[in-house]
Amino acid sequence: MRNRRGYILLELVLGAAITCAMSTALFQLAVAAQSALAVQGDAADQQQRLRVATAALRHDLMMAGAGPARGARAGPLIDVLPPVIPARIGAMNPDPELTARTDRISIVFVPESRSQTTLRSGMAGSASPLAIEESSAGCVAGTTCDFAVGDRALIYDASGAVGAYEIFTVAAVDPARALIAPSAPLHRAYAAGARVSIVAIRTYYLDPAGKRLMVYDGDRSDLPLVDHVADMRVAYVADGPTGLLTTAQLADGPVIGESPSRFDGDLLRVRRVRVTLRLQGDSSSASVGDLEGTIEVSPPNMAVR
Amino acid sequence: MRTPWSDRGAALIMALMITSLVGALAASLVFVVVTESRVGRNQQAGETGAYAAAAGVERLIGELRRLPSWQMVPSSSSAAATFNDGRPVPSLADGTPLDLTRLAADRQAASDAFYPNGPNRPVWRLYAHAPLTRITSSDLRLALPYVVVWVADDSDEADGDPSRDSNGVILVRAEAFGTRGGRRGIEATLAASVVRDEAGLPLRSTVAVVVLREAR
Repeated sequence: MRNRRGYILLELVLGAAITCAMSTALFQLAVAAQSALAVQGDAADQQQRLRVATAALRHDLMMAGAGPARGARAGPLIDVLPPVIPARIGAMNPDPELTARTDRISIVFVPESRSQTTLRSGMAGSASPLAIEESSAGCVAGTTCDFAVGDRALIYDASGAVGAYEIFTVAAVDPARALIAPSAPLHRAYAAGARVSIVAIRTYYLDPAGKRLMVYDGDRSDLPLVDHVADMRVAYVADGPTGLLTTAQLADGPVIGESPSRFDGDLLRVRRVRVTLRLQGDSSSASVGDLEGTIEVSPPNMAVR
Repeated sequence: MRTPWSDRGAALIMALMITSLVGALAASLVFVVVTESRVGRNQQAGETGAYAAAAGVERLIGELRRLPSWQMVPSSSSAAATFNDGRPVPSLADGTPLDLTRLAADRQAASDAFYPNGPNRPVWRLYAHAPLTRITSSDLRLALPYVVVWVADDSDEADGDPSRDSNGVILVRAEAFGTRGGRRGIEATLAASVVRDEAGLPLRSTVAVVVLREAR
């Protein structure tokens, strides 16, 4: 009769071998599934970051060049200044005038607001406060047209001369006398009727050290938008046979405007902007390759009709 | 005789454990994929909506170009628009009804909150509403957005009559409604303009876009 009170060595070895084989197969399956899951998650995250970046860029490019909607000389900004600039502009670390780089773009537009008016009287000097017209459409008397301390504002000549503009920060408002004071003297005195509007600036640029796409508001906010950005390229397309404008063409003149806001005249011919972003996967997952996406936008406020 | 260390049923437990593990991993993968495809679809729907709203504005511009005068545009009935589908209660691609009366009231309330009270404050009127397929005259069978276009007289005038244009400038708002609550809008200020020849003689009337903004 067979003794069932214990295992023989062969049974133990076979049992151990089968257990090892099954465990190995199971662990391999688990590791493969886990890495697939991690890669899938990383790929999804990569696509989401690209979506966030392109959605922000597309929205701001669609707004590029939108000017005041009410009052005399309402209309697109392209009659006065270039709405897209291949450089960083603003109060903090701006690029020198006439810079043209492919890894950054500044977008300028007037957002919808009540802060769209004109100068009631000419400035006595470049450091004088601005006396604004409160009877402009959309403005409410006694509110300095909703201008507030810290707002970024745009002033340009009523004559419509291209390049006669400045962007400044509002340092003080006086609702009783309908005055707003810039944080620093302007570079010239503007005459009565000059347009004054709140303005939005968005500079998108690549931070190569941190591999981040940054957004700068032209004043004090300089924040990362998405991480793991390996490359950013911006191309400018003009109307007519010229087509694609090179960075050399965007910096070689003709120079328009007055310092410190001079710009290359070719920027006024830009009708389309193409932005290409290349995003890396999360560094912990080597399996995800770079993801490249391109958007091409024809800003409606820069179109010729 | 049943022994205390019987291994009967161990295979079932093992099988259940493995199935649970593999099932959990598969479920996680499916969740990621489904979420990702939903996010992608929503983004695509949002962009389609933005372009649909822009198409509404463009279609209106086309109609305005043919008008000798815009005087009555701010008070015109939606029946005047050639791309209006005329349905009193339109429905979206997924069957959701669109309450045009409530939308018009919301539009007016938002406008009133922005423009100060006065005789020239814009009064919005429904100009046209139709599916994008009708606006673009396409025969696509996709779930494309439904577009609603409102017009109003601009507030720069001093004629005290918001139902009549007297300076050749009107306000337009086009909104595109997609499925699952998707909604995108565009606002524009349009001005009547005349194209002249080299001698300054009028050739034809046209429409200038003073400003065009995405509305959120």
